[in-house]
Amino acid sequence: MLRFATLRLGRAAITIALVVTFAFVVLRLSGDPALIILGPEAPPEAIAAFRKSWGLDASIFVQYVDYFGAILRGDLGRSMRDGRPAILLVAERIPATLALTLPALAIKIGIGVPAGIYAALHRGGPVDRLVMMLAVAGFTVPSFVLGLTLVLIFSVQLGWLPSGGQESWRHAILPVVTLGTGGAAILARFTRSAMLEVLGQPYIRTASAKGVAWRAVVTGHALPNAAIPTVTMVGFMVGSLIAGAVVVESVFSWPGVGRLLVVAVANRDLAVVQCILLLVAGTMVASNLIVDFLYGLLDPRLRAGGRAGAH
Amino acid sequence: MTHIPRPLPSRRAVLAGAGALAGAATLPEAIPPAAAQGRRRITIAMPVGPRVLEPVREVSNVIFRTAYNVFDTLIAVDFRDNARLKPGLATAWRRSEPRVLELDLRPGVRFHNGDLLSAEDVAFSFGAERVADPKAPGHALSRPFLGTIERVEAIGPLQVRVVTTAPDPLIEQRLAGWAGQIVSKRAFLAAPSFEAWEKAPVGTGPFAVQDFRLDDRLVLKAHDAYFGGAPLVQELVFRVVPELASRLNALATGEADIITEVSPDQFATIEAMAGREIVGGPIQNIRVLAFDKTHPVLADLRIRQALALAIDRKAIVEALYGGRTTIPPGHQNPAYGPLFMPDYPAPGFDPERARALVRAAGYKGEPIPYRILPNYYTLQLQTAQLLVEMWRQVGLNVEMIVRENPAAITVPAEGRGIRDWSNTIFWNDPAGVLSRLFGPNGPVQRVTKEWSNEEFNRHAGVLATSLDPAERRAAFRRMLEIWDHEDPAGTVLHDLTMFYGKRKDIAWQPYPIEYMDFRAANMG
Repeated sequence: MLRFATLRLGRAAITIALVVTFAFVVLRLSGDPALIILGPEAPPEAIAAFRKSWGLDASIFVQYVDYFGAILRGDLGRSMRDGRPAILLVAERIPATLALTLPALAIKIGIGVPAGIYAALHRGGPVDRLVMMLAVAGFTVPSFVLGLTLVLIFSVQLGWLPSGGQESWRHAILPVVTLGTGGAAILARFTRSAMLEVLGQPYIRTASAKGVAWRAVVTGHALPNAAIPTVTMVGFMVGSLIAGAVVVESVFSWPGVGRLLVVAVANRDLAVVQCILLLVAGTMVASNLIVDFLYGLLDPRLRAGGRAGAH
Repeated sequence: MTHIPRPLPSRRAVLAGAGALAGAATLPEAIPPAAAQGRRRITIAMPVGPRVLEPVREVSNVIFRTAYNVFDTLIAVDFRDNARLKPGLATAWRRSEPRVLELDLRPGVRFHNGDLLSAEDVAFSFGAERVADPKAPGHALSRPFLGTIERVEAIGPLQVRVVTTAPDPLIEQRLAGWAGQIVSKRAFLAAPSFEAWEKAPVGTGPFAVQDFRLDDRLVLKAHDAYFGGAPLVQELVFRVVPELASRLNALATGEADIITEVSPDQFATIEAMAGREIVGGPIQNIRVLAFDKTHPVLADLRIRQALALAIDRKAIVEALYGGRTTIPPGHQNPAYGPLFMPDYPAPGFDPERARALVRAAGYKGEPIPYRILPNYYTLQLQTAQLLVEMWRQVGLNVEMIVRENPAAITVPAEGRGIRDWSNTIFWNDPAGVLSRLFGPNGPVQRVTKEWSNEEFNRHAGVLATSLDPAERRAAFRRMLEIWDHEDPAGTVLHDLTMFYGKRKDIAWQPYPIEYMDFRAANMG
């Protein structure tokens, strides 16, 4: 188990280092923050002063070494647009994003998983067909189309809910539903497929032939074995909690991390972009790590790691 | 409140951002008329918010429209009267010498913190801590606006003297324009840091900063002691709503009272909404194309001339703007007053001559890059597509290159040929735009290095320092001739527009500039 954990943690550290390096190189080479933030009409003195004050006049290698060193010291830099520490800006936005993504995750799991299980258990029936039809629709309709459609119906037509902003809990309803719908559809499809695969396995037939009650077969044998792909997908969704709502935040003018990321990239606000990417990478890696450990719990063969013939 | 269900719009309408149209045509009045309810708040939805609110730290249309309500200048501009200068924080001014302007300050003006305006505040606003010292936080960005000011001194409790480095015909315009805003000295010095100050500066304007959240919202509250009369609105909320479709929906539902940056293809949507209307039109900002004459093909001035002559500007204005903007006679604006030359012969649409010039230049079809942003200016992509086709008609092979941000279309120089640009008229004088941008100290010659012309620079010098109107007029005419015909640095397309969707019962009216003025005098 220790070897398993060490390997996974080592891999996670390398992934984060690669993400940070990639973000640094791409952002540094794709536009001069001084010109973008100050505008192309800014006098050369202003541009030079800006570059100097933010260390952009040094070579890219020196900037990279400084940047990486600062990260190791826990310093993620300051926003060029705002002047404050980047981590502070990002931290301010996290609650707003989680206010959308956590309830949306609950919707995804709360609707997607039971719907997928139910559809698999009633394969070919009208409920299965309905669930799959809705799942395909939810999966394929882009979130901005769904968001605008919901606004048309519930804000413009019915006047029940606000169309955007973050003033009250009512403002969160439409973006949460928009986010939750697509994810629930994906989970429903994954869960159904996994369940169908497991339900066709010989050990399910054996358990049934032995006279085990069908409910016990499903809960005791089918569900745990079908959980691995679903847990993988849920893990991915958990990893996307921080920056997984970029489009929805824009459509609903919701001031979360996703919108901050878009503005920061457009303005080459390097520290903020890097801080968000670091956070996203960290969340994703942590989420994958948890998923890996869960695999180990769900499937004893994986706990045994590389030991030959261990099953 | 009864809501009557209405048929849903087509998918195309949704995708095009016209979603608000469907329900809005018969939308019940969600909010009673302003007059009836004594409106206390106006919400403006706009795509981008300002980074800061300190005028010497940002030059953008979003700070123009917001900070204009927080500050005043010594001399004001009457945008309803062809940008005539009028008393602002100063009631009178006179030139005591060619380099010296003396101003009498208005007594009894209060800052948002309750302090009375004094000559000390004015001197401080132009002083070392804020702008004058090269290390001052506002120094670099304020130079193009205040660069000719040598010093500003208090010569009495309510009297100041402005001394320029040389005779400056524009000093009154500079004091009335951007970066000429007056701030409270005490509040500036009391701020915990400049970063804190620039997000909540203290001026004398009709609204004080109440809450500023970057990229989200700016809330301004009424400054009831405003010398121009207490505002009729208690609270102004500038909300950042990036998507046009979302802004239209907010206007339809009553969540926004005014929305900005409405493109002409959405006019019908708003006009179909009950109680809503489109206002706005051309603003003091000229939409141009800039030519890089260091590009091997554009080095031949005949090609640049052909590029200008191939453009059917009227067709663009009619097809894309429904005729709701104007084509100025060259790089000019009527606000220039005595320097405006309505009869100046700007390049017109002459495809035959353009073809002849292309032939004469021996052009072999080498690609000419044309860098644009996808959606920075109104209908930018559509305009560019029309232009490329018009150029193709005269035999020019122009390749459109879409880039992500303004810096990416100006630098690096590799591959740069033609680029989209707009030129804001900061002072009502050609020195405030043509010289400022294309002159010897402007970004074209100093930053992008796309173009320069010795004779143009000589005349720009005359325009900058001569106090003789006839001499200035002659210099400006020569600059126009060089810029347009003899050594084209670019070409004018049309006046830039700013359209707003708004509730009809809000009496606010737009100016022909990006400023949004919510002073009582502009609220009916």
